[in-house]
Amino acid sequence: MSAQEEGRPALSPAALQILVALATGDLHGYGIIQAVAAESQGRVRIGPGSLYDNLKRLMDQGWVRDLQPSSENEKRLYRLSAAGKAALAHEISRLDHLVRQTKRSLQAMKPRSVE
Amino acid sequence: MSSFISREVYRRFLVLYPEPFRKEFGDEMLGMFEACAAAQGFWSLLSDVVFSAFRQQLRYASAPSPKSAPLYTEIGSSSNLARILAVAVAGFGAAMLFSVFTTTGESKMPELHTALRAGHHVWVPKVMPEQCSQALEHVRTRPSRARLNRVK
Repeated sequence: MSAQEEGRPALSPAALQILVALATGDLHGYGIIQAVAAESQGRVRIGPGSLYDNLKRLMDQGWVRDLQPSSENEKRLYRLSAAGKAALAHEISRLDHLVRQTKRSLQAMKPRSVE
Repeated sequence: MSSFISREVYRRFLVLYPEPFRKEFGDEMLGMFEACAAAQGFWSLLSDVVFSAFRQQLRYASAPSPKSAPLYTEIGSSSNLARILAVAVAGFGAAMLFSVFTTTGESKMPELHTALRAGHHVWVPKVMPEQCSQALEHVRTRPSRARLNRVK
């Protein structure tokens, strides 16, 4: 892991959900909203404002790029870039480390006596 | 609220975004409005727009070239602070509208008048004390038909 990746701040939940949805393939805007809702069993719902707010930031960072439609009937698709895949892998690794560490802490925790 | 009106309100709220953002994503956001409103609700989408527009305005305000981020083309020369304030005021207005419509309901006011005239005890919500006191004052100053009959 590079020094740049080490110092990278954690992704927001919405940005993480969008990257996870795009990891399955190219999607248009509403497709991302549907994928996020499906992956979270309807618990996480991203509105269009939050979606494009995050997409804009991810595109500026170079993690997501848009594919311009060839005709007017087609919708613009969004694709995860190589840098985006690396960022997602780093975030998943960080979360995985956090989960394992928390599990160890919980197992080591002694039950308190109730008085 | 009819779908046409709600779509129009939503379209008007998109003006809160910086112009480059609106040009890039405005049509797509409007295109998915009906489907998202059915799933998430109109007010949820509106608050989503207000908060994300505020974030975008902050981002554009802190960007190195402020000329590329006017709120309106006709007031593109306004300062960053003015644009952020405009979004904040619009957000506050939307929140007030939301609280009024969801907690008491505009249509409840005629019922309040009727109930007060009939002499019923009325629960006065804290969010609209002014309107309720106005209604109470209106009923007090206007004698009821029964009282008028007694006078006659």
